[in-house]
Amino acid sequence: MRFMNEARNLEFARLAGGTQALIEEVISSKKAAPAKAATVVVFPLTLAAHLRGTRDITRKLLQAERAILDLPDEQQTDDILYRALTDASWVVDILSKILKTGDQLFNKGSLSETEWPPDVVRELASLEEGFEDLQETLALGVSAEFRQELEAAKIALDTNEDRS
Amino acid sequence: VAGKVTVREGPTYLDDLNSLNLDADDKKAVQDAVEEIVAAVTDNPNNPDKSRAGDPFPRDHHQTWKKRIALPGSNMGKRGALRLAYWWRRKERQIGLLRLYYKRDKVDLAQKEIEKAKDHFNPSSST
Repeated sequence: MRFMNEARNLEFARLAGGTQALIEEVISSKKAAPAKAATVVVFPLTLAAHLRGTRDITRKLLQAERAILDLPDEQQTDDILYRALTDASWVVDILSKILKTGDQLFNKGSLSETEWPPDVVRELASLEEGFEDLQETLALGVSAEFRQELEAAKIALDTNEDRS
Repeated sequence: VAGKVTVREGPTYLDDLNSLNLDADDKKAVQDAVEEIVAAVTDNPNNPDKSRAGDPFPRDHHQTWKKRIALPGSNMGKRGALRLAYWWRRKERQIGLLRLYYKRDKVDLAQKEIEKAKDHFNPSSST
């Protein structure tokens, strides 16, 4: 499973990297021609295609990374959990940057709906939230302090149950 | 025939609920979330539907789970949502409500582990 996820990570890096590069091109072209601030840059299909590809691979990657939570305890080693946490954090960092920059350009009129399709952007934002949620579950799950909080709450519940 | 799933509110959960000062709509959202969890574990006790039950925390034999609760009055969406930590005791068919908190209240704890993970797997990120 690890190798499969690594292959998906590479594919994600390729597609997300391409999306980021195309967004950077929009920013550079705006800087080069400030007088035409509202001009829509002409590579709508390329950016939209990269964005769709990024969405598709992110969907698969999230499904694969979440499967780690279904593994039996003995297979949820420190190595597996911390690696998944690193992966999730990496995806969140990249996607949040893409979404923030793209939204800013779209709101300024520098990207059209063809280049920055709202349905794809919405799903990508939802997938990013999914990764943030996974990141949080993994991080709190490996946190000794949080686990102690939960154990204390379990003991309190049991004690309360015995009294009732 | 398996018995009905019961829900117990732990004292720590009740303390959380009181201290959060939720309004009636928010309390209803929490209640709805608990009902969703009950439905999910009733339908499939060993592998509840995660869109309703939430996600299991790792390394606890799939006993403690986390459910996101979007609050109707919040404009922050899921990011500002509440989290409910609960204990699914399959044998007893009981859900124990353990903690209720905002994501932001556990950010420091989570961030500590994220940094640890990044340092471990991306040595170049640590200076």
